[in-house]
Amino acid sequence: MTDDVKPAAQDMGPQMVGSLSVEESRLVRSRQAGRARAMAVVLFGLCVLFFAITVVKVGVWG
Amino acid sequence: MTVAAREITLPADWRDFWALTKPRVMSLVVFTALCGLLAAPGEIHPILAFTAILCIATGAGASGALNQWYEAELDAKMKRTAGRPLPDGRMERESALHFGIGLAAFSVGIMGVAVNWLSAGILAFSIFFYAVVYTMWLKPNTPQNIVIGGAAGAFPPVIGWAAVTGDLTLLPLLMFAIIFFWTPPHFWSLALFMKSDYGAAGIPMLPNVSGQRVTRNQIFGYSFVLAAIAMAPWYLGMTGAVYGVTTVALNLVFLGLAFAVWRSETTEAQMMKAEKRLFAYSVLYLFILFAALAFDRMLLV
Repeated sequence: MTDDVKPAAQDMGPQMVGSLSVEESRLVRSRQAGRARAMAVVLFGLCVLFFAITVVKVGVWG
Repeated sequence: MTVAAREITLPADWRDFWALTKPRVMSLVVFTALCGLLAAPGEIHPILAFTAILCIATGAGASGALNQWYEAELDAKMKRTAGRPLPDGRMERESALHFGIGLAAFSVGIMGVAVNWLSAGILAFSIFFYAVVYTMWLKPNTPQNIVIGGAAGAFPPVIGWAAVTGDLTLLPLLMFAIIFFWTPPHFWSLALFMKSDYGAAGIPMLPNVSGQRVTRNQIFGYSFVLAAIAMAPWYLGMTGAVYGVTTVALNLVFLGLAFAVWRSETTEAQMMKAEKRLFAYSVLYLFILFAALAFDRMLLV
């Protein structure tokens, strides 16, 4: 039986072959959540920055 | 029983994207850009000053990401860089390319719209210079790679200055020249004790191509040019005594350490204390020199 044999992690790079184990599934979800949170922070920061730039350019606060 | 194989790609962690931007290099870029901005005559709204620094930092991050995208295979051959996200297999190469291009477009676009198009143009050129001229052309082809390529790291104070004034005068060009002539002694002292690493990757750094004696001579020679350029803002009357005293003291120490490197005949990387001291001091040198320049100019202006 070779179905359960997986290549060593260092041989695979970011690519993995086979179905996800519970731990792998958790890792994928935690990375997705981390990236989503990082993106949310960046987008919120950009909204604040663009608003501030607009206010300065329009001259509302001198 | 057979299981149908399907490909699964682990998404890269956000920290890997952060690592692509070379945060430690970015800190020096941000600092010198801030000094250029503070040294410039005239006023800039704090929000626009913050935007300018953010764009310069993002542009530096874009350069770092594009550099790592192009050099992924080279990085895998060097101990110092083998743990980066691409050679370590934590990220797909294409993601790094898209990330770098996205950051570059964002930084240049926002700089142009929010600050001015001169600073945006210099920022765009500096990203192109680092990612294309230095990374793709100079670095793999000539031992003078970091001499000419040093220009890429010398742009930030010029961009900071241009963000405030919208033009360029002699002082920002001298700030450019200080970093330009600081780069060879800084990188060649690193290359001396990292010679085997660069050799393994096939990068033609000066110690590998011309030998240690030539490199030591060049380090000492460039240190004199650096000292002359670093003192120029003072003796040309663009700065006051604070910068004058600081630059004389810093350059005397720099020349002393460069002299120790020049005298040394050590070939073992572990024994290269003088080279490691000069490398560490050169970073401190640039931070203090630019801080003194900005402080002095703020007092004068």
